Amino acid sequence: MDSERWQTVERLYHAVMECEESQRATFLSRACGGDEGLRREVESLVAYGNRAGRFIEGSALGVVAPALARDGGDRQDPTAEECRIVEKMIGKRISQYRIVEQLGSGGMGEVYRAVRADDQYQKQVAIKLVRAGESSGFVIGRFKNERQILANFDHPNIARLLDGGATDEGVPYFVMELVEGQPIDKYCDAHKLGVPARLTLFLQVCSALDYAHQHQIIHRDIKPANILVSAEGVPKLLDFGIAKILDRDVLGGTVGATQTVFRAFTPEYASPEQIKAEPIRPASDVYSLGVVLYELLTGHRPYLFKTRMPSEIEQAICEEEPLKPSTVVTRVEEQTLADGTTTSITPEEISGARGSDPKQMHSRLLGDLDAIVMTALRKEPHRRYASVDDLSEDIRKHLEGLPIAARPSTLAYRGTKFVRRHRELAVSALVFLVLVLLGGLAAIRRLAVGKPGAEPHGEVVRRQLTANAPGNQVTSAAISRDGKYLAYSDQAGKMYLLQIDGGGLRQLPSSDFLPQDWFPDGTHLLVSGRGQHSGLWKMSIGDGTSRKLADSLGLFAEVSPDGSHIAYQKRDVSNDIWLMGADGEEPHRIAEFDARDSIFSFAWGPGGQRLVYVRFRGEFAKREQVIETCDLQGSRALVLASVPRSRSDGATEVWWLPDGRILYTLPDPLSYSDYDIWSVAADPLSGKPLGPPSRLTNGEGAASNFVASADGKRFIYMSTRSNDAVNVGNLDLRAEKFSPRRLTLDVWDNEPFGWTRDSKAVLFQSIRSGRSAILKQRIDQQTPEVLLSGAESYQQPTFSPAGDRFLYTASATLDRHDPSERLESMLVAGGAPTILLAGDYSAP
Amino acid sequence: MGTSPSRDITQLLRAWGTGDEHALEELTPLVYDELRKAAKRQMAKERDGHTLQTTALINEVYLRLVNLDDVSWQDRAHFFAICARLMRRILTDYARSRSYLKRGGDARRVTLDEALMVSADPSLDLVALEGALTKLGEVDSRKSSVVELRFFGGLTLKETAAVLKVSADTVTRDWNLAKAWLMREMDGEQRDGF
Repeated sequence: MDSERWQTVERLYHAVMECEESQRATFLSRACGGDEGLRREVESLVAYGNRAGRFIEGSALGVVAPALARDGGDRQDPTAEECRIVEKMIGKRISQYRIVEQLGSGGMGEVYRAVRADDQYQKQVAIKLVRAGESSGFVIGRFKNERQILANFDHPNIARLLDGGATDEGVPYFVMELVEGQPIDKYCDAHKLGVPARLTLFLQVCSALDYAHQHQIIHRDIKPANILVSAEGVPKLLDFGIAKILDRDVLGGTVGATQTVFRAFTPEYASPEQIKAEPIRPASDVYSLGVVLYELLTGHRPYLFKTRMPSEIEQAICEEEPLKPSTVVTRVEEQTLADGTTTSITPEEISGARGSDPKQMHSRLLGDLDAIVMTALRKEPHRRYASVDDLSEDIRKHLEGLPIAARPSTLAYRGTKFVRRHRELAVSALVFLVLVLLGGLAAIRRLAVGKPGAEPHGEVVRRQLTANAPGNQVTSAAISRDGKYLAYSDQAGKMYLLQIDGGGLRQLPSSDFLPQDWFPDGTHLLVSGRGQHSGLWKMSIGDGTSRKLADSLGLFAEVSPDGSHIAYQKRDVSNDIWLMGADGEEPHRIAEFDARDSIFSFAWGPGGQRLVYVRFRGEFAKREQVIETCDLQGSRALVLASVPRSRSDGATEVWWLPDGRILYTLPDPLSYSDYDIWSVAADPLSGKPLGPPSRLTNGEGAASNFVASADGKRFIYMSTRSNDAVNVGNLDLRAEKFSPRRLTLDVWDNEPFGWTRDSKAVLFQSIRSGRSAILKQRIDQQTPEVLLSGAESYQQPTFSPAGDRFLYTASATLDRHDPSERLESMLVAGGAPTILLAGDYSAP
Repeated sequence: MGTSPSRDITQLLRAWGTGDEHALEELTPLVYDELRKAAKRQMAKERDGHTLQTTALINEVYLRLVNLDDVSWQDRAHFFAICARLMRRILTDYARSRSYLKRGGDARRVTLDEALMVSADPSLDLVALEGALTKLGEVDSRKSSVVELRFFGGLTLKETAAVLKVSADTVTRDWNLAKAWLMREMDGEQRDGF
């Protein structure tokens, strides 16, 4: 409509509205003078004008207020009306039960305790009313479908669903076995259960779910509030089957645009597929279990929501990568409560509730538990554990010190004889400190997958130094400056001194201390104390006597190269660095960072004039990690290296070698528990970078505690490898530099599996539109080239030893046991695939 | 906590007003928080039997977000215009993200985290309204502004008139016609070839 026309319409509209009702029609006809279109236009607007009345007379905020008010999930005080209803219920009969008291209000209605009306002292039950939403007919009809299965549920960790029906007023209800206990997270905290105890409790929950899955019931609403632990320590899973009964989505699988879509789950624990209203499968329960496990282990939730806008929650769950458990326990997290006050979750609090301390928590979760939790939390259901049983299996293996499935077998990627031998050692369930020596593992050069720079600049050999049983693993270790001695502590609290070359072992008389660093003269250790000895102490090697230097709860503390000063973290808020004299004199803060940053590790520079540290900000959208130096007055130098976002997990360790090179660890993108060591050179006085970063090693475990021996030939560090083996690696470093190219792959749908032999391209697997394809991307280009894709799914690629071909499976679907699966191979350069095996086979 | 929050918000609002989309990212959580608190207050009052003019609610939100002393009186018209646009954006986005929950009629919406009693939702589809409003803006931008300022921004007739620099009567007429137009548009009524 052009604007002149519109103005006419407008004019006429107002004129008509000013007329008497009865006059309007004639007035309009006359005014339009035969323009039928105009007349009808104004007439229809007038008609609506008459109806418009209360239309949008309120405000937009008023429209969404009911929904907004409910967001945030915090309980609202019951209104007078609600209290009256509850009062009326007490003493009322429902079926053969009499209601005794209210136990609480669940999400959809109240929960009451009830007894059999005929006998006061017999079985008590819980009755849950479904007030909100569905008609009783709908609920009861559904319930009848499920009732047979649910009624036959007989598992010690499942609260049975006994009956269902509707009250006289037509309110649907469920009668359930009464469970009295605490939600599992509160229970564990209240009893200060350590990690193994929590895992054991969790395994019982898993067994309940496994049982249910075998009976084709998926819980769909697993959260701590639905897992109550009795006073005797028995966890029981509640609300089994209820989510399914109430979920309209389940009905025939079609939801029209006008139908109500009822989300019967708690968003924070919901899997991505539930959020996206995709089909639910047992792996969805695995995901929710993963969230619960994350909380039990770390005290944090995997995703932090600032607002609680549904779109924010959905986006986080579907797209953001949580921090690894071992990292998140080192962070301080601020939470805003419903009333606007903020609380902090601190490493101290978390570790205290787990009977531990911050440094131990980090190393306890590193490796296996990181891998297990993160595997369960994967966005794509088929990349998680396929069943709850698989998840339980890995947890059990971890508790026994055996290798777990969630950590990629080093064989697949590395295939060296050494590693095979290492795995044998691993299988015998020992936890090691292993020393990596110079010389001779040529096998590493012949890696099946030739990553650029994969030839480490030294060669990496490992030697077992000690053997610790699982359950008593090494908690902390420090290597002397001359590279001759290792001081370490174990879970039992004992401290030992090991002569690295000779093997001589001496136990130090004190206990409950963790070695942090050595004093350069080799006569004293800087240790941090546990429990009542909390703080930083100076301990004599000779007689084990110690003197307290400072109150310090931080993760890291280090003695300066000349032994005159100690740099440390003072509080459990991990965003500052303090300095004091070697005997604790003049403690003062030299650097403080933004509240949202954390400093995960720092190290002295060779001249004792600067510190290098890793600054990490963990908020999802703004995750970043940089390596910086500062002088002793806290003024900062240039950023030396900034870590790509996909590898920013906050657990980077740094060390500054005497020759000026700074070493740091970056997570290996292929696993949750392996790291690469990189180096960047910087001037020890000014902090200025002297070159670009380069990679030194290929897939270590998490490396830490670097020490260069005095002659500079030996470089020792600690790393964890599979099955929690803690190794000490020794590396000879040559001067070659390698410039990494960064290939950014989408975090969650691509899975890189290796470099081509000429190191010019990367092959990766990608899930797009429900099909899996194999693509190749040259590192100097932006877009990948598709090698294999189409109607079928191509997965699990593995390189041949020569690196020129790769094996993969092709199948019609992504299902695990698809009968159409074939094993094929193809040249990396492209070309027709060769079918190797078809039909029923097991891949090696 | 560093600079006082209300000052930051004023700057963010200004930035967004000049087209900085990034400012919206930072604004949204802050504003959303206040909206949520306001909604809670509203619901609490309703349950106890009072009905509050929800337009007053929005004003409260503004006051809590921004120190009006920071906004010079010449700027105020512009400031409120931006606020109204912001409300339109945030509330519509919110409604859109919740649209999986319910659409019209008397079907009731539930999630397991809901409070005890569910009140029937008003039947207004905010997302559809906003779409219709955009269309109205293409036909007549002043009327669209009137609706934006009053319905989303919570301004009174007089305030709207001041912002748009027209008479209150003009605003009233605009408002009436706009309502009729929007209602018809939302009904999907066909118009014959114009």
